[in-house]
Amino acid sequence: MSNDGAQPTIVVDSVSRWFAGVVAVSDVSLVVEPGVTALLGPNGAGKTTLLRAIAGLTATSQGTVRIFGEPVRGNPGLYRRIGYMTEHESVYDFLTGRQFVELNARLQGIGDLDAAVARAVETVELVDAQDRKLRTYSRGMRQRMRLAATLVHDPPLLLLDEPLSGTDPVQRLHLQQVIRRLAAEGRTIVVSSHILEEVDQLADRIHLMVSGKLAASGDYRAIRQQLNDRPFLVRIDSSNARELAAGLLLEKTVESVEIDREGHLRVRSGDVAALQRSLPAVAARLGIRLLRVEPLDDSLESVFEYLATGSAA
Amino acid sequence: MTAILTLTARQLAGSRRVWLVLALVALPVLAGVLFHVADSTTSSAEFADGITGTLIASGILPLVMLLFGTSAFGNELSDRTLGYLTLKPLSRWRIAAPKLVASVLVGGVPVAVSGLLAVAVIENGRVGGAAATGAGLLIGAAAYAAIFTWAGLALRHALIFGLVYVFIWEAALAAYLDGIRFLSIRQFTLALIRGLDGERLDTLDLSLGAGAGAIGAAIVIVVFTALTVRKLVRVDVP
Repeated sequence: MSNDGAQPTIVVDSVSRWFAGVVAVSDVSLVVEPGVTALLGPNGAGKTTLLRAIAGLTATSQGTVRIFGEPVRGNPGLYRRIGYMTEHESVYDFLTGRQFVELNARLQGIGDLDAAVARAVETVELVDAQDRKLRTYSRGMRQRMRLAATLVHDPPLLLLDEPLSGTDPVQRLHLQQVIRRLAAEGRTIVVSSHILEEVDQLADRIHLMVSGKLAASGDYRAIRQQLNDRPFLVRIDSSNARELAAGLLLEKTVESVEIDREGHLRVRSGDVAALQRSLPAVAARLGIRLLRVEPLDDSLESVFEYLATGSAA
Repeated sequence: MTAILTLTARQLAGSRRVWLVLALVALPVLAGVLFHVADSTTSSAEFADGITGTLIASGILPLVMLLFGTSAFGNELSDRTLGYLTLKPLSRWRIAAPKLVASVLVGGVPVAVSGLLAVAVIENGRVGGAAATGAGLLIGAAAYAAIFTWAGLALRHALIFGLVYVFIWEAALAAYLDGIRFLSIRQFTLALIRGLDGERLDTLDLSLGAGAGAIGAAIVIVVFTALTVRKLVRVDVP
């Protein structure tokens, strides 16, 4: 299942892609090996464009993509070894789930069609629903049947664009298990997501994209640690902001405090978990009532921005 | 290739526009029946030529093929399912060719049968003329399918392109200007029908011979199928 080990599965070399003056991907270079690799970034970061360039669906404006050592664009024979699940949920909804997977199997030129289709449908656990029209499926079921169609030809490389979108927690857990199992069999799997927690238990390596550029690469733990280490800004409403500010300044986890014009306390901390523990204790000791505690820079964009630039928003 | 052919035929035949097409292709046959029940001084040959040249070849055939030809790829471009075909280990012509054939099967065959039946009814069952009409229309349908399938893939406003081609180029210009008739699928179609049965369409002013019609239709089919394949190789699939 794995490639021959002589070369990485995917080599992206200085790839840029722009549309009418708008840069979607800017000078991205990366290498993908067997296992699960996540392409992470906020919406509009260029993940889908990069995945589409890797799959050969779109041409690069600059740079090259090689899969198993071969250029992918204009090389349809390579699709025997690639399964690509697009971000769009559209399917031929007049087909049943089984017919849809079978169509993909036929177009792949698979010999033992019935066995391949049965195996793929079983993998996503949709045997009972396989004879229903796709238009009757829930969003999550459709995602799973699309995954079945993507892996029906047993490809060593899977490119999955937001595969967990639209799934409920149970379906998400199941899909994560399926993806992990497929990777354990030696496949190379690239998963895109805009949700860090989504790839938490899934990816061995993460490539972080922000504004079309590759902002960071590494394993999940390293990026998670960077995330935990970033300064965190919290707004606190209390019955006595000045006294609480003085009390918090004595805590090691607090980097700075300030009181804004409306009298809200703003606390900057490098250790969110420690602040969460110490704040109630300090307030209780000083007899101050906490009215509201709100993170000010916890948006996804803020997190990605921090990881990309190393400075808090 | 049969998988894409079947898929496309189901897509095209399953759409609501198939009812419009059925209504359109019924018109020539109804006209043939009317010819026999209504009083008229027009000869059957003249009426059959008028129905073939004006109603079918100038209106129904290009319109039906415009609807189905532009939809052959157009549906998949708009609902973003084209990737299911292009991400497969298939030469691009193995995607383009069945799309073309499906358009002819779903759109061209009903029009050809309609023409065949209409002429048979008008000319009291004269088989030769009816068969020539059906065969000529079918070849014309293939030529229209080739150009409109390409347009559906390559042009943002394929329907407008098709309407301009059919109603301005073919109906208004090529119908009257001899010098550009060799660029009109309608003229190829009519020339072929007359070439297959010498007694048909002799009341119409046709300047192209059967050979020119056959070569013209073949060139359109080959060139636009090749352009479709080329576009499929280069297109950014949505």
